[in-house]
Amino acid sequence: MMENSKELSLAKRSFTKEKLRNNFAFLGLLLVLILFEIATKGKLLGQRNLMNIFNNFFGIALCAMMYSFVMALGELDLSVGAIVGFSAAMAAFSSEISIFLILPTALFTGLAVGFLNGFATAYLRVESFIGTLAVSFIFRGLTTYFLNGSVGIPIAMRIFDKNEIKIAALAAVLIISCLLYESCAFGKHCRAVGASHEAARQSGVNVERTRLLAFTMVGAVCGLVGFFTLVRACTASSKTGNSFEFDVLLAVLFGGMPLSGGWPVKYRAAMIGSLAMAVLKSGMSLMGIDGLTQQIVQGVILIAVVVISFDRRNAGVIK
Amino acid sequence: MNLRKFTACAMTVAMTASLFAGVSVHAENADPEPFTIGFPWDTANTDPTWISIYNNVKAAVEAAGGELINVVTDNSADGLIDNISELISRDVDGILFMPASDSMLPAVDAMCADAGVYWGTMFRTISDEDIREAMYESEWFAGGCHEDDEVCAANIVKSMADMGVTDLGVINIAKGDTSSDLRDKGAAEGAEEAGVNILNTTYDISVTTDMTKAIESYIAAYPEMNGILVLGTYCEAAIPTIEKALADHDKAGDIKVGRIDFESSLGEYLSEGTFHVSYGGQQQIDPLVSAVILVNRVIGTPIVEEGPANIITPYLELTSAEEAGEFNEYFLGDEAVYTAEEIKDTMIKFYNPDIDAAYMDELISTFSIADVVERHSK
Repeated sequence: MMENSKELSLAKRSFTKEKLRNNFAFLGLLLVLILFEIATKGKLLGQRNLMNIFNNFFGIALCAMMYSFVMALGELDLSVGAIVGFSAAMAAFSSEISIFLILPTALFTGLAVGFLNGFATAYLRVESFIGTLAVSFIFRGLTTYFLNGSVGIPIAMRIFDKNEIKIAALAAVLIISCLLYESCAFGKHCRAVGASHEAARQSGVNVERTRLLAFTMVGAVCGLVGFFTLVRACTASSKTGNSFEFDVLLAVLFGGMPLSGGWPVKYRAAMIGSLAMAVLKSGMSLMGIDGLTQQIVQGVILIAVVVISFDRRNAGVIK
Repeated sequence: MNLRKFTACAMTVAMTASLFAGVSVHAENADPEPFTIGFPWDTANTDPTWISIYNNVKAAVEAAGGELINVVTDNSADGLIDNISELISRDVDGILFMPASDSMLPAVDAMCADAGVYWGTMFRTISDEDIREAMYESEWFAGGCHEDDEVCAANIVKSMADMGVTDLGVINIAKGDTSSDLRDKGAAEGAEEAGVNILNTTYDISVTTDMTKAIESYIAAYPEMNGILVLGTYCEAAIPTIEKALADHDKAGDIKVGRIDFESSLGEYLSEGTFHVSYGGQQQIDPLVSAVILVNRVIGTPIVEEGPANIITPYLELTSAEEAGEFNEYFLGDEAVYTAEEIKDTMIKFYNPDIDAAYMDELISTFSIADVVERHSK
């Protein structure tokens, strides 16, 4: 009887811990919101600042949603910033032929580079960390080489920098990626490969095709981010998309996405993390915190989040 | 008697009224209305020059009773656009920034015109003729201050040629940056005129490890190289890094080193004889005067009545350890190169109606290290 009650108490405690871990990102977001709302005396969620939060959130969330598939695979893509920059550059060049080519060029360029990432990772068996880093160097170099400075597009293209258009694009990517992740075989395949690619292969999952598709999708959405970045600034430069890869990675980790991949990777982490990042950045800026302190705060929070949300049970599994 | 009383009362009322009227007029004119200036700047950069730029802008804004609002930036075009959007939403009256390229300016102008916010630039001119024309027609562009990058680069190359440099390795900011392109152009002109061979140019170095690699590559690839010129860089401690790389290869002192834009370590290397010439000194006066141009526009007393004000700062030359020491003390300290009182008296038209473009040009032409030392050492 005593043994049973002890076991029950242990199970309850473990359940509570698991629940806390699962909802950690929500709690984190809530905490960040309340803290900054108080510290900024209500300015954070003021109407005007909400647009800033949305602008900060938009690009990161677009990419983070598709990045969930790569994270579920237990892989990383360190080339997303370079893809954004290269797509924007190619799209800017295409505007010299016709402004109608800007969006297709950005999307196709992103998709092509994403395909390259996927091919290197899936078929050439290059570690995604190394492969995407190499691709990042290549396309950063090509962007600088082709642009030879910066290239502008007609100011009229700012018409696409409207919130209505951005919300529509975000909603479209959200619906597609959420359906793919939660309700289609592809999402499950990604998590299965992330949990154990050998087991997934034995179960009939085409591991290589799954990897190829996930990286290609990230590339395509980076092309879309490149398009929106371009129409916002009306210029593409060698610095476009700089450090975007870290913003996206920070966002998904901040949302509680484990680096180990597999089944614990929750789609909602992408949205929560992106929102938390946007709120954090905006809140610190509103408070007038200097850049150095902002970096320190981000670093400390990241370590705390990874320590709390990292799923150690999966860490030792041979994939 | 009644008439006397009435007259006395009327006079008392009139005198009191005139007294209050005087006070009221004086109160209206004592100081400009409070205002805010937004300033995207990388406050994570601990380089003394970057800190001094912030301090000089702050001094100019506060001299006229304004408040400076900083947002952290990476100085890229898309980053700056986000910064400007944020500052507009925070209701600033003016925005001062360092443009990443000419092509971003129409977007900035469109955003500021929609919000009714004045904007100004620092350190950069507008090279693209179409964009310059469009921006100079904008009622929201207050103007800016910049140095003559092309002439400065040409002259420093010629100066190094006079020191015996024939083969030059060059470091510069990212291509597409207006200053970078103009300095490249000027260096090429100077090299052609002085018969100097530019061996290679490396762009966009932002960390010391990359700077070391670039210098080591130059040493390995070009044994004939006898000069290194930093036309521009955002790398912190650029000169100590270059000097270390040269010393590691026993080349310190043999290869002449020059740079545009002063930094705090120059004195040490000038006295050791391993660093040779630097042109610059505008990193403090340029942002200060740029802020002054914007502030004057925001408070309703523009320096130039029609169109934007454009002021070119002369570059200073640093060739001795003594001058470098004075530069460190008086330019890179906590105090701006003009104190708040000096700015108020000599640069804010609200307090000094004599100020116009010619007045400013004359004032800036007297600016030098010796001038700052003389004003601030008292």
